[in-house]
Amino acid sequence: MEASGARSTSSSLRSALSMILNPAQVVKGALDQVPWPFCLSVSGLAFTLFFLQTGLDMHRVGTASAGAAVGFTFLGLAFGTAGVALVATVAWALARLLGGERSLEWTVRAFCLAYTPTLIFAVVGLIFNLAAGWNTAIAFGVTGVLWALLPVIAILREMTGEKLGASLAISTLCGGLILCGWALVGI
Amino acid sequence: MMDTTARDRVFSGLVITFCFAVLAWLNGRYVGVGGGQVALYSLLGLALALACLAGLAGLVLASDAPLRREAGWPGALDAVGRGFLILLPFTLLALLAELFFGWGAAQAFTQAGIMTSGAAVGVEVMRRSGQKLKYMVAPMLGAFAFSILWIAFSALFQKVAG
Repeated sequence: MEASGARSTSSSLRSALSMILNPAQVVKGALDQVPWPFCLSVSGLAFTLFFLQTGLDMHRVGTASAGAAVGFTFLGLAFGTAGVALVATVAWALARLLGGERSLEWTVRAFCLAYTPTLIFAVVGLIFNLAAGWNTAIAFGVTGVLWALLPVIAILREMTGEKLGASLAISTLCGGLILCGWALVGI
Repeated sequence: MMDTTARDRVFSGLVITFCFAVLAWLNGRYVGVGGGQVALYSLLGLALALACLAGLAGLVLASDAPLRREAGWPGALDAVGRGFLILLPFTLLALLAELFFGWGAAQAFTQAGIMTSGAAVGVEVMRRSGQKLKYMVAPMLGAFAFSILWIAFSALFQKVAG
């Protein structure tokens, strides 16, 4: 029982890491075996750490209090779970219009796991933020969000039957929604 | 009449040229002083990008025996062209970030775009040459060298232009 749990976690981790460089392989097969709480925790943690860095940066330059920085962190958790699910829903609806047959549940899981590169950038950024006092929200956080475009495009290609133009258009919209959502926090 | 492949190639080429022209212009606004310098930086940046893409195609070809045997130079250019099409969302989001939000992050968008497109080239090559991760190495290294060259070019231009 324990061995099978460990195997499942290690296979989920492998799928998450494959999302960074070889997302097409994951969306075509291994994604079905990754449990949804794992997928949700990847994007949830990624945006929690990203928004924490935003709060720390703003606190450092005097535009946010310590309490606000903590508030941003919780906002990041909501953004990385509910927000990403909402963006995935928009992508799912648009892909359905183009004949996509993947389920909403599959789409949300795939989108959440697509933010694995964001999580890695957020962890590294947080280390530099805390250890060196750098402002890392844009350099690491936004870069991490941009890196997620590669898996998002792979997911959309799978959903739209390899329609590259449509995948690029929907991924631009999804990336724009995420960046606008983050920008609203800064405003 | 152009066949589909030739039309795809021309389309990819135009989209990629547009993307690098826009990214070079967005970067040039921080590196150059005045319209003349920004225009010069944009032109040189675009030329550097196109040269790097040709270099990347050469690197892919040199490192991938199946691709070399079956598709040759046009196949390598196709893989690079299809991979770098994903620069389009990066370019449009960079325009949003710069012109609407004023984040001053054109360099970050460019670097992320080049590296991610390199990974997409790797995915294209893997698709053609068998799903082996080793075919990802050359495109990723090439894209890394490309992004370093872009940073070095920007720093050099800023130094020379004063």
